[in-house]
Amino acid sequence: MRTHPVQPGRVALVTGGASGIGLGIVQVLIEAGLKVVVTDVRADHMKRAQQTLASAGDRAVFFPLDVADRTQWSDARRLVEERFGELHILCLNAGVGVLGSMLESSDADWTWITSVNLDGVLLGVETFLPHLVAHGQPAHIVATSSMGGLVVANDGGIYSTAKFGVVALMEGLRQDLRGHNVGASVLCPAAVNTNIFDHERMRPATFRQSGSLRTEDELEGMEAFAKQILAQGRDPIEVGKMVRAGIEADKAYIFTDQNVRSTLIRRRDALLAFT
Amino acid sequence: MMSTLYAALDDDALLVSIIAALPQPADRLAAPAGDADVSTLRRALEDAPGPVSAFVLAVGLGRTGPAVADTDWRRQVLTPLRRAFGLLTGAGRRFRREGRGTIVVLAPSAAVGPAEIATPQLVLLRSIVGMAEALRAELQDTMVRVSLVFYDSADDRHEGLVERLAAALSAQPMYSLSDDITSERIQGYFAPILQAIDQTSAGPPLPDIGPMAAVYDLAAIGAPSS
Repeated sequence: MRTHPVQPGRVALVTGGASGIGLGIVQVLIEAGLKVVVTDVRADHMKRAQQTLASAGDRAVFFPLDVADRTQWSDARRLVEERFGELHILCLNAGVGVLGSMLESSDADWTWITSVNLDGVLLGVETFLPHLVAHGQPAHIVATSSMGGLVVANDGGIYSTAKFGVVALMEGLRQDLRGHNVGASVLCPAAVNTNIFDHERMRPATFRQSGSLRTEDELEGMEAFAKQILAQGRDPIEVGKMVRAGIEADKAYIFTDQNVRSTLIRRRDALLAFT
Repeated sequence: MMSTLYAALDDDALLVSIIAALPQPADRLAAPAGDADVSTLRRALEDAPGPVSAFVLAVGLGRTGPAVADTDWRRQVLTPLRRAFGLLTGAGRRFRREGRGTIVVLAPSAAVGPAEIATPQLVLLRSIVGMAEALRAELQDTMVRVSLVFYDSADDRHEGLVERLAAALSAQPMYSLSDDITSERIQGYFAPILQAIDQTSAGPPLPDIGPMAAVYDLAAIGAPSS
């Protein structure tokens, strides 16, 4: 039986690790005795995470990373190899929770959402999979998809396109890596108490030209609604514990709650209706 | 006379011949090749001359590529995915403006699951499935319908596919399944996912956040029994 890599002294890298689910995963892995490279594109979140994780000392290393930038991924790999030698757990968690009409979307919407939510995961796999396989020690990749990676809504087409792809990637990798030292899981969160509601505000200037531009009032209303819903959701540290358990048990799918169940059954039954 | 336009993501000659065999005339869309951006691809469809009633996007199975570690994700996944998005949303915008229309995505059955093809191709195909379902959901309140017509990934004879494609263009069901997509296969794909959900504690319930499942409503999918 394959042993798992959640062991003191092992090394993890978490993208989008300075807030929300990413930070929850980081905290749980540090608690388990791992050294963690915390990466994030947001300087404000990194600063806060440094304060939150101060007691971890040099077991938490902070590295700014835009997951859509191949060069920065190469730099991250160099940092891991020079500082620690090997990486054992790769959590491809960074994402932007931006919804909106597919039909009204702009080139910028498409490029931004897919470059973070899909390409950011593909680049992580491209950068670190050869490394994980080559060192031969127990290793694991977890990618964060969403309940929107299994079912669709009527206003999140680009998001679901990318998240369906992430589920498929991890299902495929799991097959490809059978018998190897590297496990693969996909995390499909639903209601988690994170800052996903303010992602529209972190849109880089390059991608400012959105097809579904909203007024400040509309944006504030949507944020308040999402914040109110998510405040009732899982604590990110609870999710971090679920991810840890998922890695230890080498689970294919990790869910945070049962909210997607009824919709997923409807999707399955819709397919079955055509057999 | 209304016509059907089509485009092929990867120039699968067999799929093109299937479309050419449709009883109604089908014309190849003059779309920019290669690395075109979303708005350029959309314009090709929105500005295509003549009355158009339907658009078919043919998605081939593609070739088994190298190991995942050596994959050129941009060429194999991201560029064709953007192409699919530009063309499908271009068709959606045009038909929404004109008040009605049919969009069909012709895709290999391997897209449904479980994972049995090269991972890069699986990522592309599954992303396109999510895209097509989401487009159907977004257009649900209009007279524009989006159908996914699957063909057997392992059978290059594609028997009966012309008839199923023609039926989809006319009846606009959500799905049309090839014979290899059996109920056992569907159950087999969803069972471990549902099992994983059942092993998770229920968690706080989400309040009503809108018509999340409406697109899968049995009364709206156009299934033979619905």
